[in-house]
Amino acid sequence: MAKTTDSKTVVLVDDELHNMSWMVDYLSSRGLRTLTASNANDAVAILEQEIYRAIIVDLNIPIMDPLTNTALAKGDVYGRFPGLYVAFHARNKGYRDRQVVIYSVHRDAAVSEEVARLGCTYIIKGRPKEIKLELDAVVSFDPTLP
Amino acid sequence: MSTPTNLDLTLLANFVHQVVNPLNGVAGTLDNLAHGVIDGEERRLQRLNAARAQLEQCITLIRNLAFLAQGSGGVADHDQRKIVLPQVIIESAMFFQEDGKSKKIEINLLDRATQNTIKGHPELIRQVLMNIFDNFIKYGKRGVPVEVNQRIQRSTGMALIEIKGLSAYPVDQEDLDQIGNLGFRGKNAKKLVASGSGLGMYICRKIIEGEGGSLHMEAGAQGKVLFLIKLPTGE
Repeated sequence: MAKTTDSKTVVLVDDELHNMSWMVDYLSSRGLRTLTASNANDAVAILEQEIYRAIIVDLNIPIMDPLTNTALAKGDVYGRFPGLYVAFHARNKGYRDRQVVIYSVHRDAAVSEEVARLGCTYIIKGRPKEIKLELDAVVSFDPTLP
Repeated sequence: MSTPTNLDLTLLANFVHQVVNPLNGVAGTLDNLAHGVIDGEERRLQRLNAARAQLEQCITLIRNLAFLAQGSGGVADHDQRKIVLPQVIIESAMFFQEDGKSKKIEINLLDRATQNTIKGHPELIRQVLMNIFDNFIKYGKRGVPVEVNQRIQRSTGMALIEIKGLSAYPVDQEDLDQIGNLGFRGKNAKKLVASGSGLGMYICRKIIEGEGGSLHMEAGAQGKVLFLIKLPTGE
């Protein structure tokens, strides 16, 4: 497993970032900088740079070629929810389970199964208090530190 | 009661997605404000204005759904009033000030002085303009303004509202004929925002046709997009 190389930065991936500025503000109040991406391709490119403190990904984001078929090849659920491919990529890059958080508006059984297999956190968008609790848990310790 | 079709269910699921996202934004902002997360009066005010814009976005979406459920705007012929075109265009554009600012897309009415009027239902015309402006803010090219013009066409006596801008990704010609069909979303839209209901442009077309007018769309090179609304002046 890889070690965090940029412990002050969280990656936020969402195609409607203007609706997520509250999360950027919240993370900032916790002393964390936020790097943003609005599609799976940009997110994967960002993940190539560093092992950041955490990555928070919306399941329902656009994906474009050449990644479209790569994601689909992993299964139908990856085609329907490209954010899952970003989570898979992060885990493959060495991000620990507690460093990868995915969220969506609806809970989906196929996603839950895949999330359990990947080993990451799955939360439902809706009540910021709950999401904040989860974020607090994620940023309270760096799992890559001894 | 009839069984819902796949289109009904997909549309509803997408609609919920579209509404929950801005509501989550509002709730998150309010929670931050309540807990003193945001520093500085100016930033707090900016976040409040953004939250208001998110709520207004929800209202527009819910109105679209209500229109779909009723099959009309729920207005009667005798509800028709005089509509001053520059006024209704400016009012509709004002809803997108905050969102437009964050995406560096301004909505500019070129001729504010000529007070052309039509007879119709102001709230429905506003709903049409807001849906089209919303599309430009969501799918338009950042930094490029949206230009709106209004005039009366002498040969036909119809009022014309032209809305021009640039799409971040060009609109496919094969998609063009389908924009305005219930549940349809162009490929250019899906590249920027994964989910949407495909409801807004359908409602626009229904309202305009209900008011006795027509909606024409063109897409050109480098992402140029034109919406042309023709409405009877009612005179």
